[in-house]
Amino acid sequence: MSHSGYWIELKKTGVNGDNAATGTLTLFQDDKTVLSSAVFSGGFPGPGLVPIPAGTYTIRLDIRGIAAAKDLHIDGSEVTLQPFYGIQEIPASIHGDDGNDYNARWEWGSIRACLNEPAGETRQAFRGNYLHGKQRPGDYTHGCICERVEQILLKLLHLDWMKQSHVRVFVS
Amino acid sequence: MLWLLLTLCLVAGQPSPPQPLDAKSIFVTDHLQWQAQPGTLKHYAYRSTPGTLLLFRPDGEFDRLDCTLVREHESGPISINYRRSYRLAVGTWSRSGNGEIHVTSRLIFLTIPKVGEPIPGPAIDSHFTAQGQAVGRLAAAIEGDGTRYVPLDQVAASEVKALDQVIRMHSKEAAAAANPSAHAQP
Repeated sequence: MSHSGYWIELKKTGVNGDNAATGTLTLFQDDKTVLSSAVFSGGFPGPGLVPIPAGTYTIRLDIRGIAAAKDLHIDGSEVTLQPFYGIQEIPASIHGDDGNDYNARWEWGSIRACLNEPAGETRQAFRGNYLHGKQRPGDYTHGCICERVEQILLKLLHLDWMKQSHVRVFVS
Repeated sequence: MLWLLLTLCLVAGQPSPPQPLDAKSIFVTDHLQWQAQPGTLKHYAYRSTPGTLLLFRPDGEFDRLDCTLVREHESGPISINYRRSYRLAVGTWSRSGNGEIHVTSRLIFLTIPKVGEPIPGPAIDSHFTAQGQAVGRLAAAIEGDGTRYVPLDQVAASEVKALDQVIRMHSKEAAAAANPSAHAQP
């Protein structure tokens, strides 16, 4: 497989103790390897929570932001981050409108990048996935790809998005 | 066979294995407010709602899941959207003669904690009231914290099994977090 510009490939290679798919995530520039990381995906029982399905996803580098109070969805005692369709930095603490400080890095790490599904794809397993870090100890996700070391995420964050606004992610 | 297994566990001094979750142990928030999805998905039959599941297992284990419930069709089975935020508390329950139910539980999972919030959380006591009778169930309805809960009927066996697995997985994770030295690798 070879593509031009920056692109990413996830090759699933096994299963870990949390029943998540494990694999290697590689960032390429043209046909050269730039970075590789060990990652995991899924492991969580339940309909639609299988590891991220094979397919071609898109990371939008031209949609950028830093998570803030407006991105927190606070519904009583339940708190989560609103969907973000580009690449988003997660501060160590987000001061919510309810006066509390929240640690969204527990679930997301310090960077998350939306893996936008193939056009027209409506199946649940393909939608709402991210490439993200994680502070929570367990090596499982709810269908996303977790790169704990965040080196590819950091590289993506610092790419010149004016030169390349989209990065394709090929999951096999 | 089950009693034989339990007896053998007792004789051997080992804790009995957890029993599979029975759907009849599950109660759900009454009068759920099902809503269509926003944006381009609004034309799909898919509906979702915030909801709470209370699990009163026969062996005295209690679980509470605050989550997003979904159904693919108007009268279809209810399932849980684990991709959205959720909170899980586990503990024990006991019932007194007058229908009062005493619960002690700890929060063991939430999607985004407050900064410095310990997980598992502290033990919290709460009280519920069993109302009426229903065959094979703890009650026909349960009230507590200003909310009424009714038996969860429209749920697939696979969903119940998955819920049980989710609870076991987070319980194991919480136990490791509470006692990391016992789970450390050599």
